[in-house]
This record gives sequence, structure tokens and C-alpha cells, in this order.
Amino acid sequence: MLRKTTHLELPRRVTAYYLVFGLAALVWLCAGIVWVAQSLLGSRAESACLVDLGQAARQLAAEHRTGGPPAVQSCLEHWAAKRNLAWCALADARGHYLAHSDPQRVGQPAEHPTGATAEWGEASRVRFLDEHSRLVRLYRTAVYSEGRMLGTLLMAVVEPSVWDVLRTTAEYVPAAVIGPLLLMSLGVMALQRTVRPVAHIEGQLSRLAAASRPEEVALVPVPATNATAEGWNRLVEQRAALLSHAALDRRLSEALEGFRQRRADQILNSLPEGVALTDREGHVTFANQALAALLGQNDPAALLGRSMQELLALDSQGENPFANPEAAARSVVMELGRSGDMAQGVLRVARHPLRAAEGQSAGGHVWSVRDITQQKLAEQMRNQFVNSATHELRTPLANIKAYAETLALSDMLDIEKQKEFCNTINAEATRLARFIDDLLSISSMEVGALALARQETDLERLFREVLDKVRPQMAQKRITLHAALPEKLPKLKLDKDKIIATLVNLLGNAAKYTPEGGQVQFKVQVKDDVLQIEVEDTGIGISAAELPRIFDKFFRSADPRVQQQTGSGLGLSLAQEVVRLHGGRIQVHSELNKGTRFIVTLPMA
Amino acid sequence: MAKRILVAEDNPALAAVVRLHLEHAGFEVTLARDGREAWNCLQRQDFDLLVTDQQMPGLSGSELLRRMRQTQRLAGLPVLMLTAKGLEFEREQVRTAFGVLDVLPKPFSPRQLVDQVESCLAPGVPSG
Repeated sequence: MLRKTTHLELPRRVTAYYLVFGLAALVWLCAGIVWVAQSLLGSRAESACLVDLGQAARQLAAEHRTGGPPAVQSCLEHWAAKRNLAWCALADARGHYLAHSDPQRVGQPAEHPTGATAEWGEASRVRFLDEHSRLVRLYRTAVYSEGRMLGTLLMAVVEPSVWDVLRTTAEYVPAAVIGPLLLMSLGVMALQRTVRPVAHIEGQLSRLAAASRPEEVALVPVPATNATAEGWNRLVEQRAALLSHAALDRRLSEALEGFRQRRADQILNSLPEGVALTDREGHVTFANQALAALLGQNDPAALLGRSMQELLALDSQGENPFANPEAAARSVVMELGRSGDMAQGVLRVARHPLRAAEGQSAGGHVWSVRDITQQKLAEQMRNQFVNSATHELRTPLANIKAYAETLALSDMLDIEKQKEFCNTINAEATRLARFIDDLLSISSMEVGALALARQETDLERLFREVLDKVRPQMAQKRITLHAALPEKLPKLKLDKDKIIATLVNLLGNAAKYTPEGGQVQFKVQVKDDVLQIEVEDTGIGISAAELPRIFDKFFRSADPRVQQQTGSGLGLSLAQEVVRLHGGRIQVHSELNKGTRFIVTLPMA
Repeated sequence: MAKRILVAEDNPALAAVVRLHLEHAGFEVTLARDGREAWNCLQRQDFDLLVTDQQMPGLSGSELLRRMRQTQRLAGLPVLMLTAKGLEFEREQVRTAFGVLDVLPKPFSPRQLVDQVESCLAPGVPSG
């Protein structure tokens, strides 16, 4: 606990101590003076009394010789008055007063008081308190006259009281007291002068001791009146220097920290992956640009303080592993739909516990969010492709196997049948080979190595060939095929096989996805410098959502009517590539349940 | 009396050869080009066995079976399914999911098909 102190307290305290002890010493001195005075006065009085006693004894003897007892009486009265005695008397050998300064007591028995006694030869002294409570000294001595003892002389002196002594010494007191008081005052002044800087220092030190942030207490120099003050001033200077260094250091490290922080923010904001930090309560304390974009916000600041669970609509996603408190200390990874809906895109969300420097859990988490929609679609398409490819490979293979085995049992078949079977096997093998070609083309296309073998081609023959190839398929579903070709068609340098495959693919699709009894239009026009080929059907159409993706490799519509059909998902992708390599383009217009129109334009130059 | 078998297969070449073998083995065979046609045949006529492809345009083999299982008269008809699904576990899935008697993966030997048809129709084999 700290007392409230001011810089005045120390001098007050020191002066108070100084004065108390100084005054006590002064009083002690005065008391000593009084005592010494009393003792001196007492012994001087005693010496005087003894001298008086001797003189009185001699004078009495002389008076007695000349004047007899009356002379003795008057001499005693004279002495008592002269020497300011309490009384004096002469007692005879029988113990009665022969004479007394108080004449009434002549003839009375002499007193024999008891008390402190002292003897000097025949003289003695006894100190006692008389009937008036006065301290009385009674001196006695024998009085001789002409060789015989006349009696005993008694002389009573009242001792001066303390008051008397004080009164006597009072005249010395001013000299004894004023001098020391003056000196003490000078001392106080000197003390104050010495103590003042120390008081300043003490005041500052006690503020320092009381402060919760000692480095914020300002220390100031004091007037340099002595070595302590000078030392203090030097200390203050050194501290100020140290503090300013510390402040500089702090500002420097703050600046550096800010720099590091900005750098970390820059790095995080440059990542394509969404990153967020959440605190112990699950509130976002940092979010980068990518995360804001993934969550449909312009500004990452809009995410601060919100919960990731809420932002990711996790509660609407069925089982929510992020809500499990046991999972808080380990990494959790989950794939979930954007805004809770898989159709809107797929996000891969990973949450890792944030580790503090010591490896302890800091209670917060770091989240990373990535849009894996494309990846998922690719995966889906790959699976679809594997399924389709399996089917596409197994179907001709099944025919080949069945026919080949039947051929081996030749007893079942006549020669015509056998020939037909061989043709079937051949056709199926061709179909297999074509599918494998498609696969190879796709893989060449992947590496950009699909090459054209252009040759001068008679377009009319080319279109006839195409139409002949698709007619049986149309006929099977009773689809009417309207072909509109211009009367005169130019010759073009094309990769005939690839263009035929492309147009067969488009017409084949039209047949596949048009219900029985539908219509398919095949229209060729020559417009300016381009050859325009249109394939239009009254089929199931393509939804607006899927339309942009139909040229993607392995893409197959999710429409169950498409799923029921076999297909590799490669045809349109290849068609587009072939047209592109010819310098043309392929467009598509479609309306669900109404039909689809593909337009291929090829340059004629 | 010859047992009647309905063969639903969208691949006409394969259907033809299957028919050839089954007729040779003494069965009466009706062909259907897809699930819908097979369904119509099943409505009109009684059969002893259905051999169906799993994947067909229009009404698939799986869908055909689902419909049959909901129809009392057809629920007990033994079914042999042809599938282009590659893996054994997928075939097992088909077997358990549709309660078919047997699953024959493509490509198959026609001889094997005849053997399996005969074993499906042999007395003592629980139908359905």
C-alpha cells in the first residue's frame, strides 16, 4: 500500500524530527543548568553558613564575657536578622535554650530534629523538614568562653526552594535558550536546503512506485544543489534516453508488424482459394477476397463477425460435421453445395484448427474453401464416359461373339446364313473400330494433334453418302427426313471422312433424340462464301442450362430420355473440333421438348 | 408344349442370333425391340421366361422389371437379364435389386444363354 505523498512531506518530517529532538535537548540542558545551579548555590550557602557559624560562636563568646546573657540574646536576634536565618539559639548543657532569636522560646527545651547529617570537627549539620514544611538546615557547634563550654549554638537556615533557584537562574535562561534556538533555526534552514532536492526526488519516486505503467511516469530534473541532485539528474537523463530508445524500438516493431500483417493479407488475398479465420466462438475474423467472391460478396469485410456455418448454409446440408464439438481439434473436410444446393456448384470446405506458436490450440480455425464444380463435373463426365464406353465396346463385341460362336455350329446354318453372319461380324468389327477411332481422335484432340486429310470432294456425293447412312436409323423410328440440297454444289477441299462422320453424328443425334414419327430437316445452302448446313429436329431439345456444355468432352445430358440412349459423349465434341479445323463453326439453338437446330458453316475459300 | 420365351433386346443382330439358338433348342421365341414392346407383349400373352437387356431405349430392362413386379400376374415370371455392366458387383446389384433369376454379362456365348434358359425353366427352380 502506498501513502499519498507530496514532495513537501520529507522536509516537514525531517524538520519535525530535528525540532523535537533539538527542543528536547534544550529542555534537558535547562534542567541541567537548574540542577547545577541548585547544587552550586547549596554548597556555597553551606560554606557561608559554616563560616557564619564560626563567627557567631566567637562573637557570642565575646558578648557573653562582656554583657552576659542579655547581650547574647540581642546578638542572636541581630544575627538572625542580619544573616536572614530562620532562627538561631544558644542551648545550655542541660538542653534548654539560654537565648533564642525568638525571645519567647528562651527557657524551652532545645530541639533535636533528625535527618541527613554532616560533621566538620565540632560543627555538625542536620537537614530536616520543619513544622512549616520547609527544608531546613540546622547547624550546631559548641561555644566556649574562657576555657569552659558556654553551650551549643544552633543556627537554622531555610534552604532555597526550586522556585527560588529558578528565579535565580531565570536571568541566565535567555542566554541559554535563545542562542540554541537561533542555531536550531539556522540548522532548519540548512536542513531544508539540503533536503529539498531529495524531497523532489522522493516525490517522483513514490509516483513511480504507485504507477501501473511506470514507463509513462515523467521524471524531471531537480535543481542541482548537491551530489544527490546531480546524480538524480544524470539518472533522469539516462532514463529518458532509454525510454526514447524503447519507444523507437516499439514504433519500429509496430511498423514491421504492420508490414508483415499487410504482406500476409496480400498473400492471402492473392490466393484463388477462399481463406477465412474464425475465433473461438466461430466468428470470422479474417476473410480473403476469394472467399468473399465465392460467397457472393463484394467486400470481405461484410463477412467479418459472421459465422462460417451460416455463410456456407451448413445447417441445410444434412449432416454437419463442423458442428461436432469433438471435431474442433482436428481437420474436417467436406464437400457441399453452394448456398446449400449442389446444383449451384460444389464447394470443398476444409477446416483446420489454428495452432498457436507453442503448438497449443488457439481455439480458432482456419478455413479454406475451393470451388470444385468443374472438377466434379469432369469427374461426373469421366464416369459417364466409362459407362458409355463400356456399353459402346460391349455391344459390338457381344454381337461378334454370338455370331462367331453360332458360325462355329455350322449345322444350324445354311451357306447364305453363314455369309450373312460373316457380314454382321464384319460390320460390328467396323463399328468397334470406329468407336476406337473416335477415342483416338478425342485423345489427339486433347493434345491438339487432330489432323485433317483434305481432298477435293464432290459435296453432292458427300451429302448423299451421309443421308444413306442415316436413313435406316430414321426409318426404324418412322422419322421423316427432309433433305433440301441446292441444285449445284461446288467442290471443296475437305477431310471427307471427318465431315461425313460429323454430319452423320448430327443426324444420328437428331434421330436418337426425336420421338417416333418426328421430323428431321437437313438443309444445305450456299451463302456468299460459306457453305451452311442445318440439321433441325422436332426432338426432346436441350435445356438452357445444359446447352453451353453439350460440346464438352464426355458430357451427356442428365435428361432421362438421353440417359436411356447409348452414347459416348464424344460425338459433338469431335464434330466441333472437326468444323473448327476446317475454319468453320458450329452453332446450336434448342428449346426443351420442341427441338434442336445445329448450324454448321464452312468457308468455301 | 414348347416353353414360350420373350426376348427383349434393342440390338436386332443380337436378338436374331439369340432367337436362332433358342428356337434350335426347341423354345418358342417372341422378339421385342425395346422395353415398351416387351411390356405390350407381356400384356397380351403368357410367357414362361423373359430374357431382357438391361439397357434399352424407351423403357429399359430395369424399368420393365419394376413394372412387372408391381403387376400380380407378372410378378412371378422368371427373368434372365442381359447386361453390359462390366463388374461382378454391379451384376450382383442387378440380381438382388430386381430379383432376377440370373444375370448374363455381355458379351456372352449363345450356348451359355441356352444352358441358363434351360436351367431357369427346369422343374424345381423357384420362379421369380
